[in-house]
Amino acid sequence: MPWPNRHSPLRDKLSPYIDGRLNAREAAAVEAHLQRCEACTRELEELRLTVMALRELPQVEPPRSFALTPAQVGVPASAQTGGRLPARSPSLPLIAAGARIAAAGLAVALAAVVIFDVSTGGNPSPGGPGGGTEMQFAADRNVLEDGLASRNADNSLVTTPSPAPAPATAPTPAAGTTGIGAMDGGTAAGGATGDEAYGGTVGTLGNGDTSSVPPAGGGVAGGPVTGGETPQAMAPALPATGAEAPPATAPALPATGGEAPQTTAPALPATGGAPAPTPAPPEARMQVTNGPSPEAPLALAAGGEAEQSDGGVDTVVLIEIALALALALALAAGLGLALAGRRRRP
Amino acid sequence: MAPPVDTDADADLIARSRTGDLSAFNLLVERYQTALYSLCLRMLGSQQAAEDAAQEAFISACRSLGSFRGGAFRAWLFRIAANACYDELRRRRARPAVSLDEPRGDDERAHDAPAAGVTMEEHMERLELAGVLREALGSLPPDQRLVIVLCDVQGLDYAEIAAVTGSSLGTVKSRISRGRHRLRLLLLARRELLPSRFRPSSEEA
Repeated sequence: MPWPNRHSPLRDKLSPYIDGRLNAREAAAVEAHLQRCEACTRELEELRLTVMALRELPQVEPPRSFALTPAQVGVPASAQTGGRLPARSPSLPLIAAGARIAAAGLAVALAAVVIFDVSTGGNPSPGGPGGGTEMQFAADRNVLEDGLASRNADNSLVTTPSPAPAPATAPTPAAGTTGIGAMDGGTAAGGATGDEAYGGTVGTLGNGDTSSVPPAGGGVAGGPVTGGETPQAMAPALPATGAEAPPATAPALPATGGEAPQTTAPALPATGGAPAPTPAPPEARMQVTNGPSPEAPLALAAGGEAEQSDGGVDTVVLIEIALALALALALAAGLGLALAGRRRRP
Repeated sequence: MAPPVDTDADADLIARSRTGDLSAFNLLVERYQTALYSLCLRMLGSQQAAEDAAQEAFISACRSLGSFRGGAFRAWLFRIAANACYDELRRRRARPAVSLDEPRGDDERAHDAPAAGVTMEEHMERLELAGVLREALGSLPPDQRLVIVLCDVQGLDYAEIAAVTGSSLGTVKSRISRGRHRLRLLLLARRELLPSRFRPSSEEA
């Protein structure tokens, strides 16, 4: 603030003078000036009165206690009896973020399988080792740049010229965006986690969760590489994922999986990558099996046994279904935890 | 002005809190909640917003206790609370309609009876003064308001204020100076509302 008079250098010293923050020489200069300057003397008095008035302001007793309950610091209900702080257990928002990242990773894996599925044109033998490496190369490129569309189009033309270019190209832009979308989803999950957990309150102090998420998003981006290898490579991992799903809920899940792109996905910023790949499976299934309708994944799952005579095709379809189920589960977990976390906030 | 700070007892409670002892942390809450709430109240001007910010600050402090690197716990806590207040001020800027309608006069008035030995007249005078000061503080830029509240209301010294605000001593000194000069002018403009002892003698002559 400019001081429009000749006293300005000294006026800046009046406040620290009141607090005794001037060295002896500065203080002597101020006092010498005050001896002969009425304006500054008056100003000093006014400043002193201002400070006095501020010091009159009482400390105000809070209307309630701010003592924390275990729930407020995110202790799981099982540990609440001990009144422990969440020193080593991951906080609820962290788990929710993990579920969302898992969902993003599953979405990418699903997209990769679908791409594989479509690009091999439903050929029971997955294009031989050459096709596999080509695929992995394309997947690598997908991580680095958004060049999968052209790569994969090339790939599909080379390995299986039989399917029309339309189905091959249609899913690939979706896959291209999936990679980016998953990355964005990862960061969005970070932002959302930070907001939900701390309301962005602490700035530098409360960002533990947020900072940890983007690297995990990088892990998600690595998904296409592994997912893109061969369906055989994916297969051993999948029963494990599927096994996590309680058998009781399994019949209900296909319906959830089918709804996911329309309902849950828009509500979850983290799953921004999900809507892109998920519409692909119905298309792919139609293309490959010609049989089940996209709106009846349950029927498709049931009919899977009958169609197993096709061998490789059904493996791929089953992988797709398993991935879709796991994705729906992860989405549900992420959403449920996010809601639970919101409810637990005071 | 500020209550004496027993840093030894703090360190013990902090150590116990870090091992997961929530009751130890709540003793720290009990120790600092009045100062923290007062800081938030002076920064935000409304009881509800101050309550929310103070609660938020304690939750954040509890969660990030691992990042406390020793030193003055009070300054660390105040820093978290100041950040919570800045967040709230930012939210108000994002939704100006809300902040304009927000009642501002609901702090001491609501639940402070005259203290023992204080006449009703003095009590009213203090409420009047508090109202004028709240308004004046509210019109300062937040950075100046924070250092003024820390220095002249909470009674922190310059070094501790620098620790809270994460700025240099020189910045603290000049912010306090500019804030006080601005407050001086604001109070002069409302001098008829001030108790006589806060009116400059030159005005009475």
